Amino acid sequence: MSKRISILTGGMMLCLIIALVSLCLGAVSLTPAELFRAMKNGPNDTAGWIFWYARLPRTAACLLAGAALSVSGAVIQAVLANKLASPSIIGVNAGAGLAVTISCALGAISGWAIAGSAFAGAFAAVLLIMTAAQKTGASRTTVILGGVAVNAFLNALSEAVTTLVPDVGVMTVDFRVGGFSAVSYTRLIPSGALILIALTVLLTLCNDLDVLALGEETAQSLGLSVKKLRTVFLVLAAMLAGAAVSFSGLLGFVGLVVPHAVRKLVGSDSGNVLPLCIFGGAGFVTICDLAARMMFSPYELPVGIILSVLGGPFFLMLLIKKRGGRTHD
Amino acid sequence: MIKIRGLCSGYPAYPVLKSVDLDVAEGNVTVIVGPNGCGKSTLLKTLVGIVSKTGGELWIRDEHRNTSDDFVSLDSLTTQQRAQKIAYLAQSKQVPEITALRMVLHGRFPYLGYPRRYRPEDLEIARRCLNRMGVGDLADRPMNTLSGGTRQKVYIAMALAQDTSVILMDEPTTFLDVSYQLEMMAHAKELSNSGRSVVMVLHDLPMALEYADHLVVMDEGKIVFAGKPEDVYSDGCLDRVFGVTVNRVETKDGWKYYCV
Repeated sequence: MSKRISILTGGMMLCLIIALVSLCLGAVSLTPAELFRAMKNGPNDTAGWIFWYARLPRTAACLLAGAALSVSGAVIQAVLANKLASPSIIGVNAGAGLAVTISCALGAISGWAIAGSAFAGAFAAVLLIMTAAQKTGASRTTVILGGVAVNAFLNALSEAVTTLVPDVGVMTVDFRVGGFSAVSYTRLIPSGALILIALTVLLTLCNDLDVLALGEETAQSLGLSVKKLRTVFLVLAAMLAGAAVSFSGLLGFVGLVVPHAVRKLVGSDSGNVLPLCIFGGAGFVTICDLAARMMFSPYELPVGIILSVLGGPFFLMLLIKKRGGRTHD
Repeated sequence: MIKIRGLCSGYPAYPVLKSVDLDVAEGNVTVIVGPNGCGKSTLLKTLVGIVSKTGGELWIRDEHRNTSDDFVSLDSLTTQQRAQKIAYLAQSKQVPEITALRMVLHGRFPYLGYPRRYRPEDLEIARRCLNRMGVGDLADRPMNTLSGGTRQKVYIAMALAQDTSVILMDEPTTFLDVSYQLEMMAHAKELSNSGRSVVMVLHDLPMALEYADHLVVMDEGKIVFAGKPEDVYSDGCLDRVFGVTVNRVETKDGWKYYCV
């Protein structure tokens, strides 16, 4: 069995085990036998209700958000040729968050309306960053700094909308830092569909993404329609990030930490990176959510806090490494 | 192989090429020289389609046609079809963290349909091209761990895998030590001897005069002179354009040129 297949199979198995543990553990723990009985019998007793209406949507949300944000980060990093870029750092998540807030303020609160507006907001943010970077010929660090500014600006607008329309109810702590305690099937199903579509399309475009990552001139000379493909990738990355934000809130650092860890394991070949980002991201967010639920039980932390505690130092480490002269801007 | 007629191109509000006419012959090394900013790189980029032309015509020989009119307009080709005819080595390239073999494999990209999956024969071609460039043993080494000279050989292997009749190289010897520079020029000659047209931009005038079959001198977006290196030297246009004096001495290997 090749190293690639071994790593992917290992990642998938690990992800499945984490998902099972997440389904079992919580304020009320279920044994595997109780879990399977609940799956079989439906929401007819307490265990069944916990499984179908609490654990299953929450675990599915963790898996989907982790996979979506990780792959979105890997794609954005490849398209912008910038390893410090990720949806939460350059304002893509914040764009989605603002659009969701406005959508709720206008009364459009159906699952599809929220997923659609999150996608539109994420795409507008990514387009803004990319256009600014191209027009100004900004360096990689400047793009990140610009993204940080856009992020702060969009978050401020979201806060302003919430202040002016207090009934909007979306900018809770759970949404601001990212969490899954209020996840529901109504929000999860439309966003999950968007995520699965985007992931499926992206998995067929791995070689295109690799060629695009060789640089605009080389990619064009190899027959890639650079502008068209770049837009396609950014639309798909925005779909992923937007859909994830619509039910998980502004989860940070997943799109930065996971693609880096994955590239360390399997190199930069997108045919390996994207599938492993799916399993790695899904498992990582699920295990962080499990920690958020269990660490101070019966109290619960929003998972975004755990992710920021891990991701913040990781981002600093990357910056320091960059300044150490190993890569050049 | 390529006919360029009245070519104008450049950037919005900044025209670079001003009515360029040039014929690129089959099996030749055509070297373009000129001061910085004169439009050498823009000419290559226009041929690949990276820079849009604003006027004139570009024609390339279509090997599949066998008629008196066997040239097709580059405008009529899709990006993918163009990439099956012209390979291009950019001046500055991002160095990806992929293996040398994977890099060369991307040379087969123009031949893939959707979904773009490399076939076993593409892998075979990529390995053959790496071997031809003498770097077959480095197939599994990441590109960012290779020296500049070795990396350049991998890029040429990628152009070989692209299997085109024309290879454009923008300053392929820049940043290389002198032995790699000579090796690079020898590879260019070898490629032209195998029937390909090699067009390269160089800054080293003695090297250009020594290795070119056809030398093109550009200045301010126009071709000042084009011909055999001896004719270019005799015309004195290099002295005028660059503000230097180009001299030559006869050796047992032919003329050697130098600038003062």
